Amino acid sequence: MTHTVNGFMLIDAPHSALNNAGNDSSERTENIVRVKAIRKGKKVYPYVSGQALRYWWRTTLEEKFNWNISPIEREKKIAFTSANPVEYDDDDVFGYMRALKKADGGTVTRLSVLKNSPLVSIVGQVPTDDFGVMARHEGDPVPYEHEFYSTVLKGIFSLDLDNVGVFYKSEKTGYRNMYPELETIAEKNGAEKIEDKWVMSTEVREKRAKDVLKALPYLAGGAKQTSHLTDVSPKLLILAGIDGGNHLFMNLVREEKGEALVDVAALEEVISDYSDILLTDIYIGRRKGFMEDLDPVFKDLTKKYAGNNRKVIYGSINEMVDSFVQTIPGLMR
Amino acid sequence: MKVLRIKIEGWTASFRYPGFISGFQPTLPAPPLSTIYGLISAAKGELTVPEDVNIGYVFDFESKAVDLETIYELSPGLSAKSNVVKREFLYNPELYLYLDRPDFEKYFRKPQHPLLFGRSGDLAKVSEIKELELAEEAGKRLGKTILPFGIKGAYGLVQALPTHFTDAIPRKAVGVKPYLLMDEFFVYPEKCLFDPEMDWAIWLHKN
Repeated sequence: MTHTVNGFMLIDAPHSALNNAGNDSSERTENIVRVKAIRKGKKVYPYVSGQALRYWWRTTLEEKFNWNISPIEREKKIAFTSANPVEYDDDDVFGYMRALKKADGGTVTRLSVLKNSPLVSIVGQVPTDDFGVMARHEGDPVPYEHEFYSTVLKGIFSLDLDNVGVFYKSEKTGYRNMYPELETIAEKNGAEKIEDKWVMSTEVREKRAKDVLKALPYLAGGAKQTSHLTDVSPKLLILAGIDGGNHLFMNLVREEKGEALVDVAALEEVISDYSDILLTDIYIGRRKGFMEDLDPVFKDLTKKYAGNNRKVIYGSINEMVDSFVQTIPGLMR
Repeated sequence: MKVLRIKIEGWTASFRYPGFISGFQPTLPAPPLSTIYGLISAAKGELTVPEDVNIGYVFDFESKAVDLETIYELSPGLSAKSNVVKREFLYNPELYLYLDRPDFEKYFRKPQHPLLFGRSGDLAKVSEIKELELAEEAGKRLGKTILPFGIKGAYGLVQALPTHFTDAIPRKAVGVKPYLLMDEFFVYPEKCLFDPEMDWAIWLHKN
Protein backbone atom coordinates (compact mmCIF):
# COMPACT_ATOMS: atom_id res chain seq x y z
CA MET A 1 0.00 0.00 0.00
CA THR A 2 1.08 3.52 -0.57
CA HIS A 3 1.99 5.59 2.46
CA THR A 4 0.16 8.90 2.53
CA VAL A 5 -0.15 11.86 4.83
CA ASN A 6 -3.77 12.74 5.57
CA GLY A 7 -4.37 16.31 6.55
CA PHE A 8 -7.40 18.24 7.69
CA MET A 9 -7.53 21.98 8.20
CA LEU A 10 -9.86 24.73 9.27
CA ILE A 11 -9.30 28.24 8.01
CA ASP A 12 -10.89 31.17 9.78
CA ALA A 13 -12.35 33.70 7.36
CA PRO A 14 -14.03 36.32 9.53
CA HIS A 15 -14.65 39.00 6.85
CA SER A 16 -13.36 37.61 3.61
CA ALA A 17 -13.81 37.22 -0.10
CA LEU A 18 -10.96 34.84 -0.80
CA ASN A 19 -12.06 33.49 -4.16
CA ASN A 20 -14.51 35.25 -6.46
CA ALA A 21 -16.72 34.21 -9.34
CA GLY A 22 -16.70 37.51 -11.23
CA ASN A 23 -20.05 38.86 -12.31
CA ASP A 24 -22.98 37.04 -13.73
CA SER A 25 -24.61 38.21 -16.96
CA SER A 26 -27.98 38.23 -15.20
CA GLU A 27 -26.94 40.80 -12.55
CA ARG A 28 -28.77 44.11 -12.36
CA THR A 29 -25.53 46.07 -12.66
CA GLU A 30 -22.32 45.27 -14.44
CA ASN A 31 -19.98 45.73 -11.52
CA ILE A 32 -21.06 43.31 -8.85
CA VAL A 33 -18.43 40.74 -7.96
CA ARG A 34 -19.85 37.60 -6.38
CA VAL A 35 -17.95 35.18 -4.18
CA LYS A 36 -17.67 31.56 -5.29
CA ALA A 37 -20.41 29.66 -3.50
CA ILE A 38 -22.39 26.45 -3.48
CA ARG A 39 -26.14 26.79 -3.06
CA LYS A 40 -28.02 24.10 -1.16
CA GLY A 41 -31.70 24.83 -0.76
CA LYS A 42 -31.94 28.26 0.84
CA LYS A 43 -28.38 28.26 2.08
CA VAL A 44 -25.18 29.48 0.50
CA TYR A 45 -21.83 27.86 1.23
CA PRO A 46 -18.91 30.03 0.10
CA TYR A 47 -15.84 28.13 -1.04
CA VAL A 48 -12.32 28.56 -2.33
CA SER A 49 -11.59 26.34 -5.32
CA GLY A 50 -8.96 23.64 -5.00
CA GLN A 51 -7.01 25.32 -7.75
CA ALA A 52 -6.76 28.55 -5.75
CA LEU A 53 -5.56 26.74 -2.64
CA ARG A 54 -2.86 24.99 -4.67
CA TYR A 55 -1.76 28.37 -6.02
CA TRP A 56 -1.40 29.74 -2.47
CA TRP A 57 0.51 26.63 -1.46
CA ARG A 58 2.88 26.82 -4.39
CA THR A 59 3.61 30.52 -3.88
CA THR A 60 4.20 29.99 -0.16
CA LEU A 61 6.69 27.23 -0.95
CA GLU A 62 8.44 29.50 -3.41
CA GLU A 63 8.65 32.50 -1.10
CA LYS A 64 9.22 30.85 2.29
CA PHE A 65 11.14 27.72 1.39
CA ASN A 66 13.04 28.93 -1.65
CA TRP A 67 11.59 26.24 -3.81
CA ASN A 68 13.05 26.00 -7.22
CA ILE A 69 9.90 26.76 -9.19
CA SER A 70 9.49 25.58 -12.75
CA PRO A 71 10.08 28.62 -14.95
CA ILE A 72 7.26 30.11 -16.92
CA GLU A 73 8.14 32.08 -19.99
CA ARG A 74 5.89 35.04 -20.47
CA GLU A 75 5.36 35.75 -24.08
CA LYS A 76 2.20 36.44 -25.98
CA LYS A 77 0.96 33.02 -25.10
CA ILE A 78 1.26 31.81 -21.56
CA ALA A 79 4.12 29.41 -21.41
CA PHE A 80 4.02 26.15 -19.61
CA THR A 81 6.13 24.72 -16.84
CA SER A 82 9.21 22.88 -17.96
CA ALA A 83 7.92 19.46 -16.91
CA ASN A 84 11.21 18.85 -15.14
CA PRO A 85 10.51 17.33 -11.71
CA VAL A 86 14.17 16.54 -11.16
CA GLU A 87 15.33 20.14 -10.91
CA TYR A 88 12.04 21.87 -10.09
CA ASP A 89 10.39 20.98 -6.82
CA ASP A 90 6.92 22.11 -7.84
CA ASP A 91 6.82 19.99 -10.99
CA ASP A 92 7.47 17.00 -8.74
CA VAL A 93 4.84 17.77 -6.11
CA PHE A 94 2.11 19.52 -8.13
CA GLY A 95 2.33 17.43 -11.29
CA TYR A 96 2.40 18.60 -14.88
CA MET A 97 1.33 18.02 -18.43
CA ARG A 98 3.36 18.95 -21.43
CA ALA A 99 2.93 18.23 -25.09
CA LEU A 100 6.36 17.63 -26.57
CA LYS A 101 7.13 16.92 -30.18
CA LYS A 102 6.93 13.23 -31.02
CA ALA A 103 10.70 13.10 -31.48
CA ASP A 104 11.28 14.56 -28.00
CA GLY A 105 9.06 12.02 -26.29
CA GLY A 106 5.43 12.99 -27.05
CA THR A 107 3.02 14.09 -24.34
CA VAL A 108 4.21 13.62 -20.78
CA THR A 109 2.00 13.86 -17.72
CA ARG A 110 2.58 13.52 -14.03
CA LEU A 111 -0.15 12.95 -11.49
CA SER A 112 0.14 15.34 -8.56
CA VAL A 113 1.35 13.66 -5.38
CA LEU A 114 -0.36 16.43 -3.39
CA LYS A 115 -4.11 16.26 -3.70
CA ASN A 116 -6.36 18.77 -1.99
CA SER A 117 -10.06 19.48 -1.74
CA PRO A 118 -11.53 22.94 -2.19
CA LEU A 119 -11.95 24.93 1.03
CA VAL A 120 -15.68 24.82 1.74
CA SER A 121 -17.63 26.80 4.33
CA ILE A 122 -18.89 24.56 7.12
CA VAL A 123 -21.99 26.63 7.73
CA GLY A 124 -24.48 27.97 5.24
CA GLN A 125 -25.10 31.69 5.24
CA VAL A 126 -25.99 34.75 3.23
CA PRO A 127 -22.89 36.65 2.10
CA THR A 128 -22.92 40.39 2.81
CA ASP A 129 -23.39 42.64 -0.18
CA ASP A 130 -21.02 45.58 0.22
CA PHE A 131 -21.32 48.93 -1.51
CA GLY A 132 -18.15 50.65 -2.64
CA VAL A 133 -17.58 53.87 -4.43
CA MET A 134 -14.84 55.41 -6.51
CA ALA A 135 -15.12 59.17 -6.17
CA ARG A 136 -11.63 60.62 -6.36
CA HIS A 137 -12.14 61.95 -9.83
CA GLU A 138 -14.05 64.84 -11.37
CA GLY A 139 -17.65 64.12 -12.31
CA ASP A 140 -20.04 61.40 -11.15
CA PRO A 141 -18.86 58.88 -8.58
CA VAL A 142 -18.78 55.24 -9.68
CA PRO A 143 -20.55 52.88 -7.28
CA TYR A 144 -19.69 49.18 -7.31
CA GLU A 145 -20.61 46.17 -5.20
CA HIS A 146 -18.90 43.07 -3.93
CA GLU A 147 -19.75 40.23 -1.60
CA PHE A 148 -17.93 38.97 1.43
CA TYR A 149 -18.62 36.43 4.14
CA SER A 150 -17.74 35.45 7.65
CA THR A 151 -17.22 31.76 8.12
CA VAL A 152 -14.88 28.89 8.86
CA LEU A 153 -13.65 26.93 5.84
CA LYS A 154 -12.74 23.26 5.93
CA GLY A 155 -10.23 21.52 3.70
CA ILE A 156 -8.50 18.17 3.41
CA PHE A 157 -5.43 17.01 1.55
CA SER A 158 -3.34 13.93 1.01
CA LEU A 159 0.33 13.65 0.17
CA ASP A 160 1.44 10.45 -1.53
CA LEU A 161 4.83 9.84 0.10
CA ASP A 162 5.74 6.83 -2.02
CA ASN A 163 5.76 8.96 -5.14
CA VAL A 164 7.46 12.17 -4.00
CA GLY A 165 10.65 12.33 -6.06
CA VAL A 166 9.78 9.12 -7.92
CA PHE A 167 9.31 9.46 -11.66
CA TYR A 168 7.83 6.78 -13.85
CA LYS A 169 8.57 5.84 -17.36
CA SER A 170 5.51 3.66 -17.96
CA GLU A 171 3.04 3.90 -20.80
CA LYS A 172 0.20 4.91 -18.53
CA THR A 173 -1.50 8.30 -18.30
CA GLY A 174 -0.17 10.19 -15.30
CA TYR A 175 2.83 7.85 -15.07
CA ARG A 176 4.62 8.78 -18.22
CA ASN A 177 6.75 11.38 -16.47
CA MET A 178 9.99 10.88 -18.37
CA TYR A 179 11.33 11.84 -21.76
CA PRO A 180 14.86 11.30 -23.13
CA GLU A 181 16.16 14.74 -22.18
CA LEU A 182 14.80 14.42 -18.64
CA GLU A 183 16.45 11.02 -18.21
CA THR A 184 19.78 12.63 -18.97
CA ILE A 185 19.05 15.36 -16.42
CA ALA A 186 17.99 12.75 -13.85
CA GLU A 187 21.18 10.82 -14.32
CA LYS A 188 23.25 13.97 -13.97
CA ASN A 189 21.44 14.87 -10.73
CA GLY A 190 22.13 11.53 -9.13
CA ALA A 191 18.69 9.98 -9.46
CA GLU A 192 18.74 6.22 -9.35
CA LYS A 193 17.09 4.12 -12.04
CA ILE A 194 15.11 1.19 -10.65
CA GLU A 195 13.23 -0.83 -13.28
CA ASP A 196 10.87 1.61 -15.01
CA LYS A 197 11.24 4.47 -12.57
CA TRP A 198 13.75 7.07 -11.48
CA VAL A 199 14.15 7.77 -7.78
CA MET A 200 15.66 10.96 -6.39
CA SER A 201 17.96 10.89 -3.39
CA THR A 202 16.29 10.30 -0.02
CA GLU A 203 17.47 13.70 1.10
CA VAL A 204 15.66 15.52 -1.73
CA ARG A 205 12.51 13.42 -1.35
CA GLU A 206 12.28 14.00 2.39
CA LYS A 207 12.96 17.70 2.06
CA ARG A 208 10.20 18.16 -0.52
CA ALA A 209 7.64 16.22 1.53
CA LYS A 210 8.57 18.04 4.73
CA ASP A 211 8.47 21.46 3.07
CA VAL A 212 4.93 20.85 1.76
CA LEU A 213 3.75 20.41 5.33
CA LYS A 214 6.01 23.03 6.86
CA ALA A 215 4.51 25.59 4.50
CA LEU A 216 1.07 25.19 6.07
CA PRO A 217 1.60 27.53 9.06
CA TYR A 218 2.74 30.20 6.59
CA LEU A 219 0.05 29.67 3.97
CA ALA A 220 -0.78 33.04 2.41
CA GLY A 221 -2.92 34.16 -0.46
CA GLY A 222 -6.48 34.93 -1.44
CA ALA A 223 -8.31 37.71 -3.20
CA LYS A 224 -9.31 41.13 -1.84
CA GLN A 225 -6.55 41.15 0.76
CA THR A 226 -6.28 44.94 0.57
CA SER A 227 -9.71 45.52 2.05
CA HIS A 228 -10.44 42.18 3.71
CA LEU A 229 -7.13 41.14 5.18
CA THR A 230 -7.51 37.45 6.03
CA ASP A 231 -4.86 35.23 7.52
CA VAL A 232 -5.44 32.03 5.58
CA SER A 233 -3.01 29.89 7.52
CA PRO A 234 -4.86 26.96 9.13
CA LYS A 235 -6.14 27.63 12.65
CA LEU A 236 -6.81 23.98 13.30
CA LEU A 237 -4.69 21.32 11.65
CA ILE A 238 -4.87 17.55 12.02
CA LEU A 239 -2.15 15.34 10.52
CA ALA A 240 -1.56 11.60 10.43
CA GLY A 241 0.37 9.06 8.38
CA ILE A 242 -1.91 6.50 6.72
CA ASP A 243 -1.36 3.14 5.09
CA GLY A 244 -3.30 3.33 1.83
CA GLY A 245 -5.27 5.95 -0.01
CA ASN A 246 -8.34 6.50 2.11
CA HIS A 247 -9.11 10.01 3.41
CA LEU A 248 -10.10 9.53 7.01
CA PHE A 249 -10.73 13.10 8.09
CA MET A 250 -13.64 14.07 5.86
CA ASN A 251 -16.37 14.01 8.48
CA LEU A 252 -14.72 15.74 11.42
CA VAL A 253 -16.80 18.89 11.26
CA ARG A 254 -20.45 19.56 10.73
CA GLU A 255 -22.98 22.34 10.88
CA GLU A 256 -25.12 22.45 13.99
CA LYS A 257 -27.65 25.23 14.56
CA GLY A 258 -25.75 27.50 12.21
CA GLU A 259 -22.43 26.97 14.00
CA ALA A 260 -19.34 25.04 12.96
CA LEU A 261 -18.88 22.06 15.22
CA VAL A 262 -15.78 19.87 15.47
CA ASP A 263 -17.08 16.36 16.01
CA VAL A 264 -14.72 14.78 18.52
CA ALA A 265 -16.73 11.54 18.49
CA ALA A 266 -16.01 11.24 14.75
CA LEU A 267 -12.30 11.71 15.45
CA GLU A 268 -12.39 9.01 18.12
CA GLU A 269 -14.15 6.72 15.68
CA VAL A 270 -11.26 7.20 13.24
CA ILE A 271 -8.78 6.26 15.97
CA SER A 272 -10.69 3.09 16.89
CA ASP A 273 -11.95 1.96 13.45
CA TYR A 274 -8.75 2.59 11.56
CA SER A 275 -6.12 1.66 14.14
CA ASP A 276 -4.65 -0.84 11.66
CA ILE A 277 -4.29 1.86 8.99
CA LEU A 278 -2.81 4.66 11.09
CA LEU A 279 0.96 4.65 10.76
CA THR A 280 1.60 7.50 13.18
CA ASP A 281 0.00 9.20 16.14
CA ILE A 282 -2.65 11.79 15.37
CA TYR A 283 -1.28 15.31 15.60
CA ILE A 284 -3.71 18.11 16.38
CA GLY A 285 -2.51 21.69 16.14
CA ARG A 286 -4.67 24.62 17.16
CA ARG A 287 -3.97 28.34 17.08
CA LYS A 288 -4.73 29.99 20.41
CA GLY A 289 -7.94 32.01 20.31
CA PHE A 290 -9.55 29.88 17.62
CA MET A 291 -12.36 27.64 18.91
CA GLU A 292 -11.00 28.06 22.41
CA ASP A 293 -13.63 25.69 23.84
CA LEU A 294 -11.85 22.79 22.11
CA ASP A 295 -8.78 23.24 24.29
CA PRO A 296 -9.96 21.12 27.26
CA VAL A 297 -11.53 18.59 24.86
CA PHE A 298 -8.26 17.95 23.02
CA LYS A 299 -6.33 17.86 26.30
CA ASP A 300 -8.71 15.15 27.50
CA LEU A 301 -8.15 13.21 24.28
CA THR A 302 -4.39 13.19 24.79
CA LYS A 303 -4.93 11.79 28.29
CA LYS A 304 -7.50 9.26 27.13
CA TYR A 305 -5.22 7.81 24.44
CA ALA A 306 -1.94 8.16 26.34
CA GLY A 307 -1.69 4.39 26.75
CA ASN A 308 -3.01 3.65 23.28
CA ASN A 309 -0.96 2.27 20.41
CA ARG A 310 -1.84 5.42 18.45
CA LYS A 311 -1.78 8.50 20.63
CA VAL A 312 -3.21 11.96 20.23
CA ILE A 313 -0.59 14.70 20.31
CA TYR A 314 -1.86 18.22 20.81
CA GLY A 315 -0.18 21.62 20.70
CA SER A 316 0.27 24.76 18.65
CA ILE A 317 0.15 24.57 14.85
CA ASN A 318 3.87 25.17 14.37
CA GLU A 319 4.87 22.70 17.11
CA MET A 320 2.67 19.99 15.63
CA VAL A 321 3.92 20.48 12.08
CA ASP A 322 7.51 20.39 13.32
CA SER A 323 6.89 17.22 15.33
CA PHE A 324 4.94 15.53 12.56
CA VAL A 325 7.57 16.08 9.88
CA GLN A 326 10.00 14.14 12.10
CA THR A 327 7.96 11.03 11.26
CA ILE A 328 8.35 11.48 7.48
CA PRO A 329 11.70 9.65 7.14
CA GLY A 330 10.10 6.62 8.83
CA LEU A 331 7.12 6.71 6.45
CA MET A 332 9.07 7.11 3.23
CA ARG A 333 10.18 4.02 1.37
CA MET B 1 -26.31 -13.53 -4.04
CA LYS B 2 -23.35 -12.37 -1.97
CA VAL B 3 -22.34 -8.80 -2.66
CA LEU B 4 -20.01 -6.26 -1.14
CA ARG B 5 -21.50 -2.84 -0.42
CA ILE B 6 -19.09 0.07 -0.11
CA LYS B 7 -20.16 3.55 0.90
CA ILE B 8 -17.91 6.27 -0.50
CA GLU B 9 -18.36 9.94 0.39
CA GLY B 10 -16.78 13.14 -0.79
CA TRP B 11 -17.21 16.91 -0.71
CA THR B 12 -17.12 17.54 -4.44
CA ALA B 13 -17.29 15.57 -7.67
CA SER B 14 -17.76 16.27 -11.33
CA PHE B 15 -18.24 13.85 -14.17
CA ARG B 16 -17.56 15.45 -17.50
CA TYR B 17 -19.86 15.01 -20.43
CA PRO B 18 -17.68 13.47 -23.14
CA GLY B 19 -18.88 15.99 -25.73
CA PHE B 20 -18.07 19.25 -23.96
CA ILE B 21 -14.53 20.57 -23.94
CA SER B 22 -14.47 24.35 -23.51
CA GLY B 23 -16.78 27.13 -22.41
CA PHE B 24 -19.16 25.41 -20.04
CA GLN B 25 -18.57 21.92 -18.74
CA PRO B 26 -21.71 20.45 -17.24
CA THR B 27 -21.52 17.39 -15.03
CA LEU B 28 -23.37 14.12 -15.46
CA PRO B 29 -25.84 13.54 -12.60
CA ALA B 30 -24.27 10.15 -11.89
CA PRO B 31 -20.79 8.76 -12.56
CA PRO B 32 -20.29 6.65 -15.68
CA LEU B 33 -19.10 3.06 -15.25
CA SER B 34 -15.63 4.08 -16.38
CA THR B 35 -15.28 6.41 -13.37
CA ILE B 36 -16.31 3.61 -11.02
CA TYR B 37 -13.88 1.15 -12.61
CA GLY B 38 -11.24 3.86 -12.25
CA LEU B 39 -12.06 4.14 -8.56
CA ILE B 40 -11.85 0.35 -8.13
CA SER B 41 -8.55 0.34 -10.05
CA ALA B 42 -7.15 2.99 -7.70
CA ALA B 43 -8.17 0.94 -4.68
CA LYS B 44 -6.80 -2.30 -6.12
CA GLY B 45 -3.64 -0.69 -7.50
CA GLU B 46 -4.03 -2.21 -10.95
CA LEU B 47 -6.33 -1.81 -13.92
CA THR B 48 -9.69 -3.39 -13.13
CA VAL B 49 -12.17 -3.98 -15.97
CA PRO B 50 -15.72 -5.36 -16.26
CA GLU B 51 -14.28 -8.89 -16.83
CA ASP B 52 -12.89 -8.78 -13.25
CA VAL B 53 -15.96 -7.64 -11.36
CA ASN B 54 -19.59 -6.69 -12.00
CA ILE B 55 -20.81 -3.48 -10.43
CA GLY B 56 -24.01 -1.71 -9.54
CA TYR B 57 -24.35 1.60 -7.73
CA VAL B 58 -26.65 4.26 -6.35
CA PHE B 59 -25.28 7.81 -6.39
CA ASP B 60 -26.67 10.91 -4.73
CA PHE B 61 -25.54 14.45 -3.98
CA GLU B 62 -26.86 17.46 -2.09
CA SER B 63 -26.62 20.19 -4.68
CA LYS B 64 -25.00 21.44 -7.87
CA ALA B 65 -22.75 24.48 -8.20
CA VAL B 66 -20.57 26.09 -10.84
CA ASP B 67 -16.86 26.74 -10.42
CA LEU B 68 -14.58 28.95 -12.50
CA GLU B 69 -11.39 27.29 -13.51
CA THR B 70 -8.27 28.32 -15.37
CA ILE B 71 -7.47 25.89 -18.14
CA TYR B 72 -4.49 25.78 -20.45
CA GLU B 73 -5.23 24.97 -24.04
CA LEU B 74 -2.11 23.13 -25.11
CA SER B 75 -0.37 23.31 -28.39
CA PRO B 76 2.82 21.42 -29.25
CA GLY B 77 6.00 22.59 -27.55
CA LEU B 78 6.08 24.80 -24.53
CA SER B 79 3.16 27.08 -25.27
CA ALA B 80 -0.40 27.13 -24.08
CA LYS B 81 -3.21 29.63 -24.11
CA SER B 82 -4.97 30.17 -20.82
CA ASN B 83 -8.71 30.39 -20.71
CA VAL B 84 -11.45 30.34 -18.09
CA VAL B 85 -14.14 27.67 -18.13
CA LYS B 86 -17.22 27.31 -16.04
CA ARG B 87 -17.31 23.83 -14.61
CA GLU B 88 -20.36 22.42 -12.92
CA PHE B 89 -19.74 20.24 -9.90
CA LEU B 90 -21.74 18.22 -7.41
CA TYR B 91 -21.64 18.98 -3.69
CA ASN B 92 -21.43 16.29 -1.01
CA PRO B 93 -21.59 13.27 -3.32
CA GLU B 94 -22.41 9.88 -1.82
CA LEU B 95 -21.94 6.58 -3.60
CA TYR B 96 -23.21 3.16 -2.60
CA LEU B 97 -21.18 0.75 -4.68
CA TYR B 98 -22.16 -2.91 -5.00
CA LEU B 99 -19.63 -5.49 -6.20
CA ASP B 100 -20.26 -9.18 -6.86
CA ARG B 101 -16.78 -9.97 -5.51
CA PRO B 102 -16.79 -9.87 -1.67
CA ASP B 103 -13.03 -10.57 -1.75
CA PHE B 104 -12.50 -6.96 -2.94
CA GLU B 105 -13.08 -5.86 0.66
CA LYS B 106 -9.35 -5.68 1.39
CA TYR B 107 -8.74 -3.22 -1.45
CA PHE B 108 -11.21 -0.74 -0.02
CA ARG B 109 -9.99 -1.26 3.51
CA LYS B 110 -6.52 -0.15 2.41
CA PRO B 111 -6.72 1.48 -1.02
CA GLN B 112 -3.46 1.34 -2.96
CA HIS B 113 -3.75 4.92 -4.27
CA PRO B 114 -5.58 7.97 -2.89
CA LEU B 115 -9.26 7.60 -3.75
CA LEU B 116 -10.83 10.34 -5.83
CA PHE B 117 -14.27 11.10 -7.21
CA GLY B 118 -12.78 11.83 -10.59
CA ARG B 119 -10.22 14.61 -10.36
CA SER B 120 -7.38 15.25 -7.94
CA GLY B 121 -9.41 17.83 -6.03
CA ASP B 122 -12.29 15.45 -5.41
CA LEU B 123 -10.94 13.47 -2.50
CA ALA B 124 -13.12 10.61 -1.36
CA LYS B 125 -13.50 8.54 1.75
CA VAL B 126 -14.57 4.94 2.17
CA SER B 127 -16.79 5.19 5.20
CA GLU B 128 -18.48 1.79 5.32
CA ILE B 129 -17.86 -1.68 3.92
CA LYS B 130 -20.47 -4.39 4.34
CA GLU B 131 -20.94 -7.88 2.99
CA LEU B 132 -24.59 -8.59 2.21
CA GLU B 133 -26.73 -11.45 0.99
CA LEU B 134 -29.22 -9.94 -1.47
CA ALA B 135 -32.16 -11.50 -3.26
CA GLU B 136 -34.07 -10.40 -6.36
CA GLU B 137 -37.44 -8.77 -5.90
CA ALA B 138 -39.94 -7.17 -8.27
CA GLY B 139 -41.74 -3.81 -7.92
CA LYS B 140 -38.98 -1.99 -6.02
CA ARG B 141 -37.64 1.53 -6.57
CA LEU B 142 -34.68 1.76 -8.92
CA GLY B 143 -32.73 4.85 -9.96
CA LYS B 144 -30.13 7.52 -9.04
CA THR B 145 -27.72 5.60 -11.20
CA ILE B 146 -27.08 4.89 -14.84
CA LEU B 147 -28.97 2.15 -16.62
CA PRO B 148 -28.47 0.48 -19.98
CA PHE B 149 -30.73 2.05 -22.59
CA GLY B 150 -34.03 0.24 -23.09
CA ILE B 151 -34.98 -0.87 -19.58
CA LYS B 152 -38.71 -1.11 -19.06
CA GLY B 153 -40.14 2.05 -17.51
CA ALA B 154 -36.80 3.87 -17.16
CA TYR B 155 -36.36 7.41 -18.44
CA GLY B 156 -33.79 10.22 -18.33
CA LEU B 157 -30.99 11.67 -20.38
CA VAL B 158 -29.46 9.38 -22.95
CA GLN B 159 -25.69 9.54 -23.24
CA ALA B 160 -23.11 7.32 -24.90
CA LEU B 161 -20.59 6.34 -22.23
CA PRO B 162 -17.70 3.91 -21.98
CA THR B 163 -17.51 1.09 -19.45
CA HIS B 164 -13.79 1.60 -18.91
CA PHE B 165 -10.58 2.99 -20.35
CA THR B 166 -7.38 1.21 -21.29
CA ASP B 167 -4.28 2.22 -19.35
CA ALA B 168 -2.12 2.65 -22.44
CA ILE B 169 -1.25 6.00 -23.98
CA PRO B 170 -3.42 7.44 -25.39
CA ARG B 171 -6.18 5.98 -23.23
CA LYS B 172 -8.93 4.46 -25.30
CA ALA B 173 -12.58 4.34 -24.25
CA VAL B 174 -13.87 0.77 -24.30
CA GLY B 175 -17.42 -0.56 -24.50
CA VAL B 176 -19.17 2.68 -25.40
CA LYS B 177 -22.92 2.23 -25.54
CA PRO B 178 -26.01 4.34 -24.79
CA TYR B 179 -26.98 4.70 -21.14
CA LEU B 180 -29.85 6.37 -19.36
CA LEU B 181 -28.89 8.83 -16.64
CA MET B 182 -31.56 8.39 -14.00
CA ASP B 183 -31.42 11.10 -11.36
CA GLU B 184 -34.55 9.94 -9.56
CA PHE B 185 -36.18 6.69 -8.49
CA PHE B 186 -38.96 4.91 -10.34
CA VAL B 187 -40.75 1.64 -9.58
CA TYR B 188 -39.23 -1.14 -11.65
CA PRO B 189 -41.84 -3.85 -12.33
CA GLU B 190 -39.38 -6.66 -13.08
CA LYS B 191 -37.18 -8.69 -10.75
CA CYS B 192 -34.02 -6.94 -9.72
CA LEU B 193 -31.38 -7.20 -6.97
CA PHE B 194 -32.83 -5.53 -3.86
CA ASP B 195 -31.17 -4.03 -0.78
CA PRO B 196 -33.78 -4.06 2.01
CA GLU B 197 -31.63 -1.94 4.31
CA MET B 198 -31.59 0.97 1.87
CA ASP B 199 -34.95 0.07 0.33
CA TRP B 200 -33.75 0.33 -3.24
CA ALA B 201 -33.06 -1.97 -6.15
CA ILE B 202 -29.61 -2.19 -7.70
CA TRP B 203 -28.95 -2.68 -11.37
CA LEU B 204 -25.90 -4.91 -11.60
CA HIS B 205 -24.14 -4.14 -14.88
CA LYS B 206 -23.31 -7.63 -16.12
CA ASN B 207 -20.30 -7.91 -18.32
